[in-house]
Amino acid sequence: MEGVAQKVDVNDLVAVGGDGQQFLTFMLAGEEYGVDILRVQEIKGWDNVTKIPNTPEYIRGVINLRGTIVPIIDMRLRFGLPFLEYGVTTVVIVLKVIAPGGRSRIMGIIVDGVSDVYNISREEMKEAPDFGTAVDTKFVSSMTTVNEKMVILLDIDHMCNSAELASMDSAVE
Amino acid sequence: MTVDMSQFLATFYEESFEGLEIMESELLNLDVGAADPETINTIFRAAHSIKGGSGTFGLSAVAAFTHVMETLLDEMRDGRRDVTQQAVEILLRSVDVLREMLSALKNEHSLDHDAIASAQKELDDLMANGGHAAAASAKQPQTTLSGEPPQQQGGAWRIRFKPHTDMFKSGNDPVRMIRELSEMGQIAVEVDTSALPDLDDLQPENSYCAWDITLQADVTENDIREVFAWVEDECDLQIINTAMSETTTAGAPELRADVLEKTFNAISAKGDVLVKRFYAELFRRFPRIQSMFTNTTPEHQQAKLLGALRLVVENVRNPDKLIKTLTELGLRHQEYGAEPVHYDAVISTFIDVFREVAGDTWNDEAETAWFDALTIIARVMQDSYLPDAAVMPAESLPAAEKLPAAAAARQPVEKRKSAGGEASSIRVSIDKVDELINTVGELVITQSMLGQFGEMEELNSSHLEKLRDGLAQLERNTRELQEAVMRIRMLPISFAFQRFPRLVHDLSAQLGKKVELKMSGEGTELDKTVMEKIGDPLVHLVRNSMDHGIEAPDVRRSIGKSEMGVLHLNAYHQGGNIVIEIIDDGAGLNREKILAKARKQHLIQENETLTEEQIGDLIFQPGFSTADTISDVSGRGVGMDVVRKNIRSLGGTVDVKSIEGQGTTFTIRLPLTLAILDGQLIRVGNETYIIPLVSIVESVQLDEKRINIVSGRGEVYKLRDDYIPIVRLYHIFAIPFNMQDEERGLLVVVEAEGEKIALFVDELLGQQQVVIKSLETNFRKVEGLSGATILGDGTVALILDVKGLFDLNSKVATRPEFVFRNSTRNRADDSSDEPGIAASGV
Repeated sequence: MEGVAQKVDVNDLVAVGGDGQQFLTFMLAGEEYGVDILRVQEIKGWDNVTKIPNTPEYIRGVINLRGTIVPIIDMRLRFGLPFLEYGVTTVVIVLKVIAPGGRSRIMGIIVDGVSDVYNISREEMKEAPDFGTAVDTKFVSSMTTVNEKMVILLDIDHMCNSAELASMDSAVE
Repeated sequence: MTVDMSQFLATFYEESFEGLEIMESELLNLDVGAADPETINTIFRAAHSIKGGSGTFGLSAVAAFTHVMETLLDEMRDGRRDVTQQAVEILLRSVDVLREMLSALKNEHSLDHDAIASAQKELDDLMANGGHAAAASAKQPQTTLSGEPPQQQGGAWRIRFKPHTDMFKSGNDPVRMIRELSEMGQIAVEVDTSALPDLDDLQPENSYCAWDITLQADVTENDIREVFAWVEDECDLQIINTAMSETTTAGAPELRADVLEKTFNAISAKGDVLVKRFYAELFRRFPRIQSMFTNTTPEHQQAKLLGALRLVVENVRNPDKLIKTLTELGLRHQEYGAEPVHYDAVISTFIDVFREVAGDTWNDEAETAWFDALTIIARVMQDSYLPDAAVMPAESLPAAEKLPAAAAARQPVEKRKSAGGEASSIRVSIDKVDELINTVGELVITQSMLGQFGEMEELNSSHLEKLRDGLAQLERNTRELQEAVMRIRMLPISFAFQRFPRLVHDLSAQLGKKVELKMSGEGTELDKTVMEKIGDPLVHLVRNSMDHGIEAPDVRRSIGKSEMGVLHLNAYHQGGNIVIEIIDDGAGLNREKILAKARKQHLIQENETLTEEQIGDLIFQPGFSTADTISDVSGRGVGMDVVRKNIRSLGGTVDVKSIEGQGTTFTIRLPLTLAILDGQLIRVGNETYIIPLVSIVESVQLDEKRINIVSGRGEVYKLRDDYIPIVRLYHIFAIPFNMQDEERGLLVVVEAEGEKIALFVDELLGQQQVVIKSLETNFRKVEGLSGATILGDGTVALILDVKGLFDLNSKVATRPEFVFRNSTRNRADDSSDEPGIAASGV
């Protein structure tokens, strides 16, 4: 009994104790990925976007988020996974991304669905091995296991500051 | 009675900077020899306000410095001193120093004591030997207020108090002040009645007396000043400590022993926390400093620092001992390799940490006191450094290493400060506010009119008509309100022009040229953000005209021109643009030299003939060095290409017209505002785009017979006598083609920088004003787009950048599938409009 109680405690939304960090996880082609929950601004349903010409296809376009223009990235396409028709569970997670200069930007990522919130302590985060999944290891900050399932924790700052998304370089070859 | 002064400080700085600008421009207006007293008076008043304000806020260094300037100006005003060119130059330099002092204080940087001291010395020298009418009028005040601020603690004070003649009128009574002084300690008062006029001339409401007061009391100078606080601006006050200690360091700011002790005692319980945080913060900000602490443990170092602090605070009232200890400490720090920049870094870090640890007990007074104290300590320690490198730094960094370290040490401090909420403000004339209120009033009336319809049970046709009228009125009100609000951001261009008199004055002296600056249209208004960004390009163009345009006096004389060159800055409105002209009557562009240079750099072909316009355009080419072409003076880092780039980034243009031997005119055209534009909505495929209305020349129905294909690479459209290249947005933006009937397409002819292209679009939707939103805030720049906007239905529409489309077109034109007919063939493949992956030819 005690063991079970402990387990629940770990996943408790309110209990943010010790040096742990809370992560929001989402599903993408059957795998579970996590992002730092403090970076999540909001979660909203998929809505039409305005396409931006001459950008990679994983940049679906921009939306109007209460007066600011926010780019939307399809995570499946970003990771080279097959495109999936957007359905009822498809959501856009709006994230705050911090650029190297300290400037923060708002971006949205399209995922298959939101999964859970975990409290993960530092000891539980393991360095990512050079594994063969679709995700490029450079975007993975660490990995962990929750309830015997693997969760990949993403480095969103690294992921969303690549040249196509942030720099002044032209995307047109 | 504690009032939080910091809220007024921002206003003080703003007003002081304005005052400095007035001083500067009026100083430049001064006719040497025959100065207009009113001009001097204006300068005097500006200096006086700065002095008064800085005194109120406890910025003693500024107050002391301004006081000397003020005394000098006072003498000029009264005719006791001649207005000489030298004096004007010195005053101008003093204005610069003062400006730097104020901005350093504002940003909480450390003051440049050397610059202040040297400017102060110039002023003092001038004071000492300049006065002609009455040598005695250069009284003693500078010994107390300008030279070396005295150590304030002590027992014997000599006070000279001379009220201005009209002091009584403000209801102040000298007796009250003297009585208050007498409560502090032993007092001896002598009255000086030498200024009393004859009884016939005496105005009973005026004050003629002066008092010499000797006070024996253990009080600080501030305590005494407090007594006179109400009459500060209405009297001449000198306070001299006759028991002044000679051992204090030169030019030292005041040491506020009481404040230091109080704040230190308040946190002494948290001393360990303070020092620990201090080192953590210091190493975080300046990682390179850490190497100096390699042969000590953190705990040991922290204990040492705490001990040193305690020692300093305990001995504030015992300068001799303190200086001795600090000298020893300084020698040791020289061995460690500590440099002046390190002291600055330590001071700023320490103050920040102290503020953090001290919490509520911290206030501005404490901050100033500690800052001054630490500055003095740092100076004493550095003064003790052995000259020459007699002692080699124990772990000296290689020279190359030191420089970045120094830069790194400074940079974070500056960055932090500038990020610290530069709450900028603008002054708005009351007319504009009134207009705003009127418009809002009308809006309220319209609203109540429309509100009536909401209460009706049902609407008949006459109601409907009224409703339409009301809505039309609402639209008009909204537009007026928008315009009125936008006008608030508009400032006259004189804000950008006002720096030029000084620039021209300095530069003409430096270049040995005689230049008269004319300005017109200073009242022309433009948006504040545009104003802020146009300053640097303007400065560069003015420098350029003075440097390369206007000839030296002897050259001008030899070709029959007046020695005095004329530089004319002109501004006016034209359509939705503001036009700024920089006109000089100098030599003009040298066509041959420019052409020769351009050929050499292969910018143009041999034997290629260029129009006047194209030649002018050459000087804006990147890498087109004007250095060899027009003159050999240059090297300021900013080229004409950068000027053009900056102006273009504002959505403006710059061009040059020149008549050889007669002069050059640079014309800058800028949009009045960056926030809103009139746009034409267009549809291409399923996408909506916006074309800025100003760039549209005309729109025509596509007539396929007029399309010509040029050498299989591009299409041109014959429109009257012109052949205009066709740009298909389908192609350059890779939009899925789903048009049913191509002949129903339209061509929108747009123009940028004298070139025209015809954009092929499906449909013209409507015109509306759109608010420009940057794509770069959360994304990045996209070629061919200047931004985005939000339409009435909440969706995002992209705004086309016409100039960018030209460039994009020339890149895309080389794609193999570009040829016109291909687009028709691709129609079937691309017609899928699923939300999935857009099939594209890119």
